Parts: sequence; structure tokens; C-alpha cells
Amino acid sequence: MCHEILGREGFFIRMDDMLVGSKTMLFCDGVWKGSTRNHIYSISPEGWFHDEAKQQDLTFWVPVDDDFVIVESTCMGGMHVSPFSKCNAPKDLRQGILKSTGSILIMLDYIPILFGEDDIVFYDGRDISVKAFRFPNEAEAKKLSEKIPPRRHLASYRIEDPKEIPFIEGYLSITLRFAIPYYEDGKFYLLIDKDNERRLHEIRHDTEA
Amino acid sequence: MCHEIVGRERNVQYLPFGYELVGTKSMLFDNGIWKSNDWDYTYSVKDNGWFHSSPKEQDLTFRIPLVVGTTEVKSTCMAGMHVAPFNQCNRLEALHSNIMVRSIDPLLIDIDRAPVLFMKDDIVFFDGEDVSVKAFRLPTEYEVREIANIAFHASLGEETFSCRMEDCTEVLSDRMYNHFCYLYGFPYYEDGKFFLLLIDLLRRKYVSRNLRARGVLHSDG
Repeated sequence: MCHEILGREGFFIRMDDMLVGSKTMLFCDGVWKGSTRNHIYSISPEGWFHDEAKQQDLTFWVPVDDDFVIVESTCMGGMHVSPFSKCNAPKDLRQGILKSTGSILIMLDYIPILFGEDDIVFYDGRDISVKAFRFPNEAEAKKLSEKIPPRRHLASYRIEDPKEIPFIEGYLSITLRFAIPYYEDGKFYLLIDKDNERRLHEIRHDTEA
Repeated sequence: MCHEIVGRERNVQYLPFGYELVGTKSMLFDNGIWKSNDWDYTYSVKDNGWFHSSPKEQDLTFRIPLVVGTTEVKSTCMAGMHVAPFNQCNRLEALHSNIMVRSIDPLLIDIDRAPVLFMKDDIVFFDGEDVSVKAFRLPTEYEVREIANIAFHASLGEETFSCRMEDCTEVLSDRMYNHFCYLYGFPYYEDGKFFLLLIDLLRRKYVSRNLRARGVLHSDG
């Protein structure tokens, strides 16, 4: 006897021998953290985010008579990676939203990250748990930018120096940028669509009006 | 962080029945011994009629959707005896045979989608469709009539008859064709013995006629 877990939502992208999913992360005072700030990522010199598989909570939502019976269990899980879906589909402009308050906190939402099939620890029909993942390199980021919204004028900025990033001050000191982070020669960068800057100005102007 | 496994299809569900849940299972009754329908597994049955097994490591396949197609990743999980949910096909099962009896020695009864009961606490794993359980049981005669009515839309009246599983060859002797007989019914457990509650062929025609009249069945069942 064996069990099979099939996808119920979203999809991943194959790029060469790697899979691409999306992830939300924080870059806070030079440290990479999970979106809830509870987890600090370990990063190898090659730029791989890695963690040992650990026991995690697993909830079974068993369908019973148009309702659910909830059964709590555990599984070996890793760092969660989400699929692309209707909400963050590659063609959707929400891909790679960047938020910042001041110059300290950068939240990277739905950013594309790469992992190998051998690193998969668990799959629940939507999210994958992995032991390791990495950002794309510059060439991969540019390739992904073609799969994600159409980009024409891309510019790179070092993520460790947010003052250099051309943020546009928005509501409650939060600025939004469409960007893809990448890792090259031991440093993290953001690949930002400069064309988008004009669009953001227009959005801000419309909001203020 | 935590994972959630949610049912992957609508209209596929288990049924509540008192404090227990009801799903379906395909099994073999092979010369008095209960086996899985692939013959690989022999069930342990307690005196109170509960089929039981300790959770064991089983193969687990992740079928991960890509832009085109899927990729498979192999893993393992602790799991038990599989129980399937009811679906639209089960509900129309009243129109087809789900029991095959082979009368030549040794007696073999192949039961497809028999309703079985299990407790929520016995669930070991859920893959979005099947649950794995540590224990399940067959219903009693009263319960099987109730479940048939709810799950299979098969209101069972006087057009049914019961026989002990070991004796079914004699009871069904006039229905055998080349030592085989195909029937529709449900297994149940009563007073320490296993029985088959069988629906008479005439009753089946009656059920089909009723379903056709209600628009549930369009072709000749």
C-alpha cells in the first residue's frame, strides 16, 4: 500500500535541473529572516539557504459530509516554498513586490527561489518543504524576469545597501518596488524594473489626488 | 511552520455515523481469511470484529504540478490500512454488482467498496483522498441498512436476503454461472460472524426504475 499526494493548487516552474517556487522573506539589518521574523536563515558561502528537516505540525482536513474533521499529526518538514498561482502567477505584476520602512526592513514578497528535487522533504498538495534553496544568479534572474512580467530596463542594486535602492516614498513610509533578488559573487542584489518607477509615480499621484 | 493536507476534490467525502466515520474499502474473503484486494496483506481481526494493524512505514509519492505536467518525488510516511471516501460513483453503485463469489474450492468472495467504520482517533494519515487507519470494522446489520440508505441511495426493504459468508455458495447455488456469481450487497458483522446482505436482482431493477424516474439514471442500468 502507498499514499500519493497530488497538487490541489498552484504550480512550480522547471528551470534546467532546478524547480522554481515563490517565497516571502525579510531582509532585516543585514540578516535574512522568515516572513514572521521567527526564523533566521543559515546561508552557505555559495548562497544556499539551508536547514535540517525537523518535525513540524501536520493537519489533516478530512472532508466529512460537506464539513471537515480535523486530525492533528506531525511530519518531517523543512523551509516552506509556495507554488505560483492565480494570485502570484508569473505574468502577474505582483511578482516580486518589495516593501520597505525607512531603510531598515525589506520585505520580499512572492520572490522566485530555486531548489533541487533532492532537497524536497514534504509536499502537502500546495507548499513544498525543502532542506535548501537559493536565489537565482544574475543570468537566471534575467531569464526569470522574462517569464515574470515583461521587463525592458532592468537595473541591479546591492540589497545590503538599501539607501542606494531608488525607493519611492509611499503610504506610511512603505515603498513598493517590483524586483527579483539574486545572488552573484557572494553578494545579494535586486533586479529592479526601472520602467515600473514611472508607473508607481502614477499610482502614488492617483492615490494622493 | 506547519503543513496542511486538505481534501483535493469536491463531492468526495466520508460520512459521519454516530461517533464514527464511514468510508469504503475493497477486500477479499479468501477461504475464510480476510485479505487486501491485491492479495498482499492478511488482516488481523479481533473477536469484537475490529480489523487492526500497527502503523508502518509506507511509500509516499509527491506528484508536484509544473507548468506542464508533474514531477514525482518519492518519500515515506507512517500509515495504516487504507480507507477510501465516498464519491459520485459510489453513490450510483446501487446499479452495478460489487460482489463476486467464486464457488470452486476454495471459496473466494471479492467485495468492492464495502462500507467500513472507523474512529477519528484511528486516523494515521490522509493524502487528500484516502485515509490510513489503525483499526476499522464492518457495520452491523442495522448499521449497514442505515449506511446503504444514506451513502448509496439504496433503501433496503424486504427485497434483501442475508447469508453467512462461509455458506454463501449453497445459498447462491442456483445463481452460479461457471462457478461465478456477481451480486450487489454489503458485508456486515453480527454476533461474531460475517454475513453478506444481498440485494435481490428484482430489487435492483426496482431501484433502477426509481432512479430513472427521478432523472438520476439516464441510460438503461
